[in-house]
Amino acid sequence: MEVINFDIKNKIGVTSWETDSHENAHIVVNGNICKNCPHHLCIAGCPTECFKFYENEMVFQYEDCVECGTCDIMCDQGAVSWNNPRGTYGVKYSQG
Amino acid sequence: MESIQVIIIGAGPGGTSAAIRLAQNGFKVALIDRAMPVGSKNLSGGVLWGNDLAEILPEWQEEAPIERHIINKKVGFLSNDDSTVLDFNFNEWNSKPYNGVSILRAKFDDWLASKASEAGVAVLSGITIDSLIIENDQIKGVRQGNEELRADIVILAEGANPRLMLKHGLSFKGQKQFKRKDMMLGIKEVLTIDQKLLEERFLLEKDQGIAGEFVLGNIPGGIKAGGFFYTNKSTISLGVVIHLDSFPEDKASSAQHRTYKVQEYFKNHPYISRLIKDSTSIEYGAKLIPEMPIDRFPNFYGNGYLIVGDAAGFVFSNGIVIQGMNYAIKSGILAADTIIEANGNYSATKLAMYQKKLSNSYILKDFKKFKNVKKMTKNSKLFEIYPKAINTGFKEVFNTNGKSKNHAYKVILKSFKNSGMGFLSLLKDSSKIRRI
Repeated sequence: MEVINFDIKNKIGVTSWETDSHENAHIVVNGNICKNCPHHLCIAGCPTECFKFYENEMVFQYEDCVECGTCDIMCDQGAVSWNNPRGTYGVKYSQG
Repeated sequence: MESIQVIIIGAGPGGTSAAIRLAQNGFKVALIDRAMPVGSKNLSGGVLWGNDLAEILPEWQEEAPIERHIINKKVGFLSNDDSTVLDFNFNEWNSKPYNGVSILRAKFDDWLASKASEAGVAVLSGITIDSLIIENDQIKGVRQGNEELRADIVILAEGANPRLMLKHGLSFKGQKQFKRKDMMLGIKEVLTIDQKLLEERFLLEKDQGIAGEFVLGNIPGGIKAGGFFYTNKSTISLGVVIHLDSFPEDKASSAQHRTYKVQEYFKNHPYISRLIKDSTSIEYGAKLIPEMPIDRFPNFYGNGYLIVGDAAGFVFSNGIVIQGMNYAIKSGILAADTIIEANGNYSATKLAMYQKKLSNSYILKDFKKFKNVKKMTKNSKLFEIYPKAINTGFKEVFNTNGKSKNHAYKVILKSFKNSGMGFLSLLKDSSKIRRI
């Protein structure tokens, strides 16, 4: 079925963001912890695929985050530090 | 910003309803939201059920940006290729006050905040509060950067992902993180479609709408999820609600399963794909949905604060109904009434009357009455077995294939048996279904 190779990145282009600079990223992931994680549920959980495990490294990008908070709940290893973005930054729904 | 009496954090329906009620009673209120404009970070499935807003805005159904009023509710069971869908039509739902209306939160919440402004509330948008001011075990206000804003009491209406509550240990037992079993993830797309086509396809006359909710038996990997669609004026809100604790805790599973694929499996089901044909996605979003049982709710009040809406855990779900906004509005109004009656004494002892008000309202009555329903909504058979057994059973009843017909109930019972369910466990489950 086509769902198996579905690429979420093609879909989220319709949503809008006001992206803050890298030093103000609202989520910080400590990738050292991820190397020993038994499950990587952050990857399965994130609805916009901000997490990828690539060549034994957890790669995280905050830009596509819709601020749902799922990764903070999926990660029980203490690798995810989650804050709200600074005022006005982040996802910006026009429908909601 | 002199002499603010009440600070409210979060301009969703809960926080804004509290603000309006307080302003109508002469209180000086600051309503703070991190989005600019208000509403642009707010997301929900999309049906506001009930008429709680009438307590503060009697004419809201005339004025608010309502998409459609719901006259038709569908409840369906989807298995891989098949579906059984119950179709409820209630003529009464066609007249005001409407039982439910579809809304889009970016527009609706902005409108509600404008009503708060009109009532005299200071609406401060685009501000993320960093922390609460706590002195002598009493909340005294909020901080943002080097700035402080003080008030007599704070209402926390932060929503399903309440960072301030988690940071300051105001969640259940001071937990800094929610448990997977206590949260679901909602994913939603808004699909645009020609209005005339939408009305013809869904058999709707002017301003009438549909709310459809589905048990998804077509998701691989044992992932438990439900799906929904709601018709708006010329768009469809379509999404899924996923139990986060149904993802297996191993890397092999995480390499394969994705929450966002659940949405694709739902959209690709033949029953759904026919309904959304010729539509185009114009927005994609996601939000957490609290699902904790009543014994893991936070304390709803304490020295100098009250908690309302999703932040308090007030979302009702029983497998065929999922509602949050009405509970948010009602709890916001009750929090405001508590403050009005507290007469300037905002100690936990005095604010305990908020708990009493919640207990006397439908809010805690609903959660208490349905506290055992989780056993059903978390039951893997509901997702893995029932949709398939129901669909296969009915298919056999309706199929005309040269074989002699059998009594419907026998065929359907047989279908359940073939799907691995004994008669006893069916009986056991049906006593749980009674709880819905």
